[in-house]
Amino acid sequence: MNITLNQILILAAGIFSIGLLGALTRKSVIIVVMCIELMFNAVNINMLAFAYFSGLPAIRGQVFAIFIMVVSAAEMGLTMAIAILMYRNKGTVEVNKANLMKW
Amino acid sequence: MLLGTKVALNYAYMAPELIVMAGGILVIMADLYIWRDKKWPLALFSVLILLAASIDTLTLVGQTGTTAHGMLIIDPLSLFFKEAILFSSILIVFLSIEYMEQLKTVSLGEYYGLVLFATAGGMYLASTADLIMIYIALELTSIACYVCAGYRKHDYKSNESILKYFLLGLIASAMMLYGFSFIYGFTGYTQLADIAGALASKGSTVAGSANVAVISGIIFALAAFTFKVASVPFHQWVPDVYEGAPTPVTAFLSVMPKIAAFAVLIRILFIGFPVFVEQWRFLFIVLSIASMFLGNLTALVQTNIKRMLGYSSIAHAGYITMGFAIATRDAVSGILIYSVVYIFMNIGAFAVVTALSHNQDSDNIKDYDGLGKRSPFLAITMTIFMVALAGLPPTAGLWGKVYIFIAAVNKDMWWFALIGLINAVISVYYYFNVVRHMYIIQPPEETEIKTPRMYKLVIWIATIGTLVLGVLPQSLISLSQFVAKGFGL
Repeated sequence: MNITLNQILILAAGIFSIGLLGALTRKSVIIVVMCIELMFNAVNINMLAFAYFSGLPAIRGQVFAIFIMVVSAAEMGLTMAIAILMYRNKGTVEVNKANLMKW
Repeated sequence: MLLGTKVALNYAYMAPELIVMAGGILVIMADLYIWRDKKWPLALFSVLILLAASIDTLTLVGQTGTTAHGMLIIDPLSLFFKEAILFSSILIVFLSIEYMEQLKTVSLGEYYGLVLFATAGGMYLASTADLIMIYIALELTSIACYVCAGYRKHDYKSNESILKYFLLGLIASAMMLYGFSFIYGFTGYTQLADIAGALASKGSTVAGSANVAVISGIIFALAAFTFKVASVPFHQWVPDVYEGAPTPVTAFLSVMPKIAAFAVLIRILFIGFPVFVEQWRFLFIVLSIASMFLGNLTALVQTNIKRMLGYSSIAHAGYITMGFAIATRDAVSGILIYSVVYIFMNIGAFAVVTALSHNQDSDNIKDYDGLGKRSPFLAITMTIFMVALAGLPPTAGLWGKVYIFIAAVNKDMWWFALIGLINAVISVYYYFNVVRHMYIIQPPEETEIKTPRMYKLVIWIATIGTLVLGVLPQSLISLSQFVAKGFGL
């Protein structure tokens, strides 16, 4: 059975949507950022699929995916720092407790 | 490009950014090993680095070219925005010195290092036309800005501001990447010029449904840029982050990432996707009208001056994105004029807010009662900045709006200029509300407010800039018309 580009794109779109849904509905900062990581990885799947299936300068898609992984690793580091900062000052890492400033 | 091909690097073209990046690392090292107790030498060192980079940028004037396989572009547009970004960063470093001395609990050297990294990211953003590089430069600016926004780490408001900025920023950049993946996938290139070529040549991989994919890619990608320029669909972070972040950082966030994002938007839209002008023009018309009305109407009822300036910055993003909706060469030069003017007036206004919050740790508009008696200097300069933000003569704010509105009228979009004018009139109300508080309402106490020297320096520079560009705008206008050559349709 051959896997086609369309199937991979649908998979990536599904993962992206699950990530977005999770990021918008979950409460814990850590889980929200995990969901955003899903969105980034859906993009990675897209990039690699396009790079594999198009005959054009394919290396760029792969390079792009590597850069996305590197930058999201840096962002994970920042997430941990923010979670610790919140926990220290407020005793919780739930995003709906961040409600000091409104409107 | 085959592996093993020799990479041609022109270090002269890369030097300004390299100076700033190396300077950032040096500042952090110097914080650890040399100036462990007093931190103001670090600030002076950062200013020297930024000055060196801007002088180095000036030596490139008149050259055009690319290096690192087109990742980095040297042309009048990139040099113009690099100078603007460097200048605003210099003002921010001066503004931060005394504020950061007050915050005894945090290490300060990193702050100047982060400002330098964010500046370098902005400079890369202003001078690149490759999707990979745009993403990396955007993240370099963003991550440094996130950390700066949370710099008062024992203050819960500041934690909240970094949390909101960070999570929304991540979602925005994930959307941008999803859009980039479609643009890359359906054109096969990551460089904007190649993408435009692939889209223009008919009968290639691009036809029919692929066009739809590329357009939806553009829409996704614009999400991250509306986040950075704080215009409508992704504006919700602005007031909260502006209120919670340390005030000099707020000034930084309101200017530097914004003008860098305008620089890259000019490139993406006019180099990458001139084919789809009708589609993105409609998008920008909606965005710009929505941001102007939302920003101005919500700013009317604010009681905190940082939130008010936050909403006003959403409105200003609306005025500037009008330029993209008009999309002529005049409109691009209007965007350039507005960006420069915006640096002076917005950093000036935030400098006055910082100077006042130096004496009392709150930012309510009520605190400005009777400022005219308590500190005539702060009151008169704040009045000038408010007049400039409202876009009235004799300040530079007038020319930013006038040139964009004229471009709209020339394009037969007079209704668009009219909507802009209506918004400028609405904005007069809340800007002059601050002036009313300063001069008409009696103060609760009449103690004199002392302004530390560094704030005075920044406020003077911003005032002189606002007034001089207001009276003699000719050189800025002709410069921006020269720079806008080659952009616009």
